[in-house]
Amino acid sequence: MANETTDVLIIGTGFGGSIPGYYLAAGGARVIMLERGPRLSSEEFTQSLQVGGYTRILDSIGGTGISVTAGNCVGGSSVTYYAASLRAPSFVFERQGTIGRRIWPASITRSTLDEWYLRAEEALPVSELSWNDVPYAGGVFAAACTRAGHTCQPVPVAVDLTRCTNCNWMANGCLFDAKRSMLLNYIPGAEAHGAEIRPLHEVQAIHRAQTAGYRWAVEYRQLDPNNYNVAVGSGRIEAKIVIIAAGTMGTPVILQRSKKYIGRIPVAVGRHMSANGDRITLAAVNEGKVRDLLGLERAPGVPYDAFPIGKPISSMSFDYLDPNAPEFSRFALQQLFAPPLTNAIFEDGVDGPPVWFGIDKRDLTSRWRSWLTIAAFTEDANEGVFGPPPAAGNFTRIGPAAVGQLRYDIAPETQHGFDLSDEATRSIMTLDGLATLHLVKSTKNIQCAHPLASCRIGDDPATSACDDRHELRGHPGIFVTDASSVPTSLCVNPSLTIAALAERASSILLKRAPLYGVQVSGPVPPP
Amino acid sequence: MIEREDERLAKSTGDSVRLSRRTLLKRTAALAAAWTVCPWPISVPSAFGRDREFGREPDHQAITQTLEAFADTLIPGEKRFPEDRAIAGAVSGAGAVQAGAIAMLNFPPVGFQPALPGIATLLNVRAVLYALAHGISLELKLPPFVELDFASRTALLVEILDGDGPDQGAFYGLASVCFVAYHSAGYLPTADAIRDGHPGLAAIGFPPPNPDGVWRFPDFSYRRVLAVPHPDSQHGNPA
Repeated sequence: MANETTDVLIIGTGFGGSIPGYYLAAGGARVIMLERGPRLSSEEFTQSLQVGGYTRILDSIGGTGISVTAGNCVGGSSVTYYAASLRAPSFVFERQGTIGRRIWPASITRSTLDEWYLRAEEALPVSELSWNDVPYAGGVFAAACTRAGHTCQPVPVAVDLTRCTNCNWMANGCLFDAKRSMLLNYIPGAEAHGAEIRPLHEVQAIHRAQTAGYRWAVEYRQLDPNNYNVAVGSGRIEAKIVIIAAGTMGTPVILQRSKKYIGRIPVAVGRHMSANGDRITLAAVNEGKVRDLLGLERAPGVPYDAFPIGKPISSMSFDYLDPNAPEFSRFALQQLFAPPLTNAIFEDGVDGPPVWFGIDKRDLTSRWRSWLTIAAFTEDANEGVFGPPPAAGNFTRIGPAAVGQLRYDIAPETQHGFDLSDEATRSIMTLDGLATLHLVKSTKNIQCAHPLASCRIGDDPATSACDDRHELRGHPGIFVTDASSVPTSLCVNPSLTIAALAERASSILLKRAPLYGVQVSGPVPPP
Repeated sequence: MIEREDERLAKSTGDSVRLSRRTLLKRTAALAAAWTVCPWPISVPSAFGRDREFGREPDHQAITQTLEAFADTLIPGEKRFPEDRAIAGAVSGAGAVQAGAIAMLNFPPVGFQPALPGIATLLNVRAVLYALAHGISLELKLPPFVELDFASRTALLVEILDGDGPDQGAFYGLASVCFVAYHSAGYLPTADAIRDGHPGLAAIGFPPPNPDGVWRFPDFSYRRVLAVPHPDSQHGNPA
């Protein structure tokens, strides 16, 4: 039986898949998008911490030295993200990391990317928060920054503020369609132009096509919606163009497994992974000090007591983003809600073992409503490396958890950034006893919510898997447009940069598609 | 009653006790003999293949007691009844056990259930080794980990969970599930758990939903200008 065919086959439906999916479909290409996760409508999202609910769409992947969370549904991580939508600072694009030369392609700077940032901001769209929109936790962080002599500002978010209920359940998917995920813009736009989205289709490998006029064949297996370890079907689709957007944790694995079918793959596939320099700490604030030092009270006699209330991200300080400071010493600090699922990880703050469990830890968690978690986005050294792929899928699933092949041995440069950001957070939050600071101590694994760069773009074939057009080196017609193509950590939340790069790549794809036999017409306006 | 053998011996000899390899081996042999007649059949006999030989089911009560003691060491609670041995009673109020740690560990989507007998076995073996190394006598009327006092249970879990042993990952996973039971009631819909007074969610102060079971917070902001933005920022973005 002949394989199914299409012009463009896209693997993944997050930012990196949905954006080119929209532009190519709107340009007239036949587009099929395969998504390994399920498709949920907003009514199906839950406000619940019950395992088996949110875990349908959110993966927790344990590696060696790293723990990663990533979306697993139609819309990808745009469904589970916290919607902070920031442009990366200019110096990020000039970074040299540990290789001693510019990592990003010469064609991409902050100023050349700004037009694509703007398109993504308008298409999502992104809202600027006023201080009236900043929840209590962001307010305490901002006031603490001010008192410590720092600037701080509201964070732009991809949220419809007229719909937002400040429920703080963003990681579960938004019940109110307030959070602007791909489900509300690019995906419906793509489908309106004929793109077909197939959930629960997990891509295994890419092969060479057998049908004349088609270059690649994508092998997939259909998954049981109640058990992602069980395949209920399989198939192949041949395409003229393949866009891999399976995420930083998926894209390199698919390519590694494809090696025996498509020939040698670039050495940078599965190497140079960045954890975006993510570093989370906990400040347990003293309610009396919030009142006395910061002058805040949200109700009579209640200074704060509001950790679970609000949008999960709302304020941040750019004071440590000095472009003239040495690399690995720059970072942003951001107020960021951590759900109680993560309560285990923080130290109790009392001398002596046990450090993260027992009586003292129980006492600390009894003050949970007075917690304030802070994310630092530092500059890491791209030290993540993927081991050989599993027999099937992107990682091995065990119940709601997964074990991956990623190894992340913290480099001294990365640790230096962590140490500096810890100290900065401490200087702001513990000033005059405002709070006590608690580091992650239950595990040596770094906690990463923003995996990047496992199949990155660049000008140097030795250290980048794709060229500056996002095309996989040595494999014409295969493009990588997701977070794995972002070359370095960004010192801010990465979603808007992923979207901007995907916007830029889409414009290139529209121009190059005819070279691969796909007739499209442009330009295409944003959705 | 648990007696610290090192203290007893120290009194008699007037010196601190250092267990020699020979002493350890002798004690292990004695304990192995005791296991063949002791009344807690959980997993150690299983480890020696005795369960299969006699077609016996694992002792679910002993497994549960062991796991309860593990959970109680992580997030302590008060005893449920005066003779409660699994819960050490180190604090007042509810702990992980009352918050449903056992239900959580057995909750099918967690996927841990098949591993529980084995991991309980492992924990009890580690408890025996800990007792041997620290000169603690065990009566063996209960699973060894349950026989340890709270301080010893804690010290052993520090050794296991903060160590680099090959079983660290398995025990860390077990611990994570216990934390999720207490802090998130992860085996229940959250709204139902709060309605029914889940002690962990109550202890951390997780807010209740609106009457329709949905969370909304109309009052969420101080509505005050609380900082000045960075001078180089534009529309909330860094330069």
